[in-house]
Amino acid sequence: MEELQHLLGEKLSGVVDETFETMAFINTEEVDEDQLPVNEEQLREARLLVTSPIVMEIHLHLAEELLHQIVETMYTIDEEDITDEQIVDVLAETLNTLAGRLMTELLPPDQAFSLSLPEIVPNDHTPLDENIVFSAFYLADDLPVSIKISAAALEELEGLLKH
Amino acid sequence: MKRIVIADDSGTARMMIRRCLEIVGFSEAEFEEAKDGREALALMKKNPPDLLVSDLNMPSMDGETLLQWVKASPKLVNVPVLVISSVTNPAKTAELKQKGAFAVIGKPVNPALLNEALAPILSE
Repeated sequence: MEELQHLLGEKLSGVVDETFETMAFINTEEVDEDQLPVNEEQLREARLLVTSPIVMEIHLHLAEELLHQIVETMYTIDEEDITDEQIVDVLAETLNTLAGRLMTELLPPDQAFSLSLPEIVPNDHTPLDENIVFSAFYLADDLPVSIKISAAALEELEGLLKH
Repeated sequence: MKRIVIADDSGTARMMIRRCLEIVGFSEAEFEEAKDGREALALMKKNPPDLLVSDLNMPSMDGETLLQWVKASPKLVNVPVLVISSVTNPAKTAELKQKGAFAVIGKPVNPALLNEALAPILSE
């Protein structure tokens, strides 16, 4: 299990860095949770299910300020022209891309996988803490990014890994 | 002028794909955007495009079903279909090409990937 956690962390760091760099020209740095300038009210969350070959849920939390920066960069628009529709679409598309890249990195080339459509989590939801099996924290332009994976049995993934 | 249909449920993804296509040589193209496979199919039936760029994971009609509709339609069978999706790996790529996809690219898309995938079309 420790080896799996290490592999997930290693693959996820590469995927996060590549995704933010390609989508928004932003570099990321992995940090410990206590290094995050976290204010829960300023975070937006999206989640997505991996539905095969195993079932797990990936949660992405991004700082609202970071989402504004990404939208400004990607859409080449001014802050005052940003809409909430653009914010949630960027959040969902970032998670969709991250999840796909992560599964591609983790699974053998001959192993197909399926993802659900990403879903925006309302701010007043009850966090699903008991099934979190992996967490990673990053800073992107000094703003917090966190990724949490929940699964009933992450051990199933170990049998499918390519390494 | 080339006509290109982009099907993706994310407006952000459609915008990124369009910008990358403009960079690699389609700056003069006419773009039409669809939020899912049904919308894309409706656009194409009216007027077959020179290229369809499609995501896989979409509501209503997914990209794989759209690809099958296109390749089963005598009017659309010759439209090249480029799949750009987060759900790609060598196994999925081979399956999609067997179903008629011209090329398959994983997200996040960038101009270099598109340039390589579309080289045969760009040289026409």
